[in-house]
Amino acid sequence: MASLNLEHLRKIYDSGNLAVEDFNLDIKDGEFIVLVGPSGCGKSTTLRMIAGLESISEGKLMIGDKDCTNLAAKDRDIAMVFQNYALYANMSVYQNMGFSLMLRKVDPQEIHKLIMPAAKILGLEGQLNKKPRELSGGQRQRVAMGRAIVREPKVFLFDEPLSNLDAKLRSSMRREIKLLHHRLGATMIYVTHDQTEALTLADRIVVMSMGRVQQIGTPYEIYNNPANIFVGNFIGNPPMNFFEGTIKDGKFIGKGFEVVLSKENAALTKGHDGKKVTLGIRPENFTAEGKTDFKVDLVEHLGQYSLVHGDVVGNRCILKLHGWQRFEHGDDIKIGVRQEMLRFFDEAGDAIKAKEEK
Amino acid sequence: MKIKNPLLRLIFAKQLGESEEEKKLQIDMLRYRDNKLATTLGYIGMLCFILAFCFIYSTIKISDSDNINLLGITQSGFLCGLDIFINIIMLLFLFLAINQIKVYSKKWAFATIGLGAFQILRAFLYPLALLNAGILDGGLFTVVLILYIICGALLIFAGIATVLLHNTLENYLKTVKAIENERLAK
Repeated sequence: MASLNLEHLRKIYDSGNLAVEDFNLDIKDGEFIVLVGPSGCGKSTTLRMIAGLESISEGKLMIGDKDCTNLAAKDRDIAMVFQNYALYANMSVYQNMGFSLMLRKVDPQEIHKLIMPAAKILGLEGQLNKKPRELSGGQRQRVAMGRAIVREPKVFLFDEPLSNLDAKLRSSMRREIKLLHHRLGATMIYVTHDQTEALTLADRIVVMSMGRVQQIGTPYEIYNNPANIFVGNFIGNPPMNFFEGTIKDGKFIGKGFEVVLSKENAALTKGHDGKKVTLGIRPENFTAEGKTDFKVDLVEHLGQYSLVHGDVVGNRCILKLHGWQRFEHGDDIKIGVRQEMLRFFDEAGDAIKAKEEK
Repeated sequence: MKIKNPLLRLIFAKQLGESEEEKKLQIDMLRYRDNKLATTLGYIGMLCFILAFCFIYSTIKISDSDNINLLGITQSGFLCGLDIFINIIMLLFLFLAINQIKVYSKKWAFATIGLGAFQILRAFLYPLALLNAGILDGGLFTVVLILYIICGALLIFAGIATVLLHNTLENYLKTVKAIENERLAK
């Protein structure tokens, strides 16, 4: 296991396309880091730079105490699990798992000793003589992980490993990866565009957009205290609702509605009096009791909660309410918000934080 | 020198000073590893067989009028056809057998032993007929004879090795199953 230090990493392709800009991150030994962001945000490029599959244009990459910026991929002691598994079709599961060690001329007995516990951890004991074509998608992905485990690398890299699986299998595999992390205590870096994976797996999440880091934080911080509008919008399903308006005399004045702010929120936004501010509210932070008018457009019943789509005086908005809500299209209801969960963003789209937080 | 082959390690376990635990591990490895020793011996045997075939048929002479005078057609024409046919069938079965002994098939191991014995026997049929007919000279006959015997011996050894490994593995799996059943019963 090892810690990683990424300092001012930058990647510019020969075509001049800037893929990653000023990426800084300290990864602790045994930490589970998830890089998340929309397609083309540079998360996979960052991972490939760590793996040594892409050259680093600028910056420094340290794995443990070793400068790996210009080190060949094979010398970095890193194992990577790919989205398409990359298994050898002509080899059995056992051979697939042991192939990298065989290439390193490790004693077959040692290879066997490494493969068997890994197969046990991954529940592949009964599948070791099978060829990849005889396995399900989840089992294939476990073989790919097993191949990484037997190498006992310093760092595990996962490049969207669950994207090829169906929803149910993805959920169970997600759990298995988390358990695997607990068991191995290894440093893992995981790339995904799926925010559920990011929130459930990560010790810390790195949200990226357009090649830049938008926020680094624990899942709680990322979800509850987004650093900017992008993070609030990208993380969370459905995303955060945003309302443009201004702050005046302890009130948020939106288009056609106003919210009287609590003492804390009023203090927080004091410096922005009269300025343009965006109010962000997570769908679950609305209540079905309050004074603000809400016109229902559509209700999606998801079992334990309902997503109510509609608008607040012309402002599109989604509420996530507990239980089976029996609203109909065109219903007018009154809603309220949990004051402590209101988030404010300045004109640049950055979160307005209390002074000590800054 | 460190021996890597599981069969040799099992045979020479005492000499190598391997513990029971290591011996068990070697057998456990057989479950997932190909029978490389037998397969390699099989392929070497096959190569000897092909070489012998090439040596015998290197005596084919093409006459000036481009008519093929195949190995003194009047003396051994029928045997020649039969030999070619046997060679084709042998090659096919040998290839199948090698692929099966790779996964410790006992049935095919016996077939390999049979093929090996037949190969040794064959050396005294057609090549000897050719020698008696004066088509093969003494030197070439000896080479062919040696190649056939090597081929046969290798196949027999590959077959025996496979039977031994198969039995060892079978006994081990029975023990594992018994332990597993006992554990489940508890």
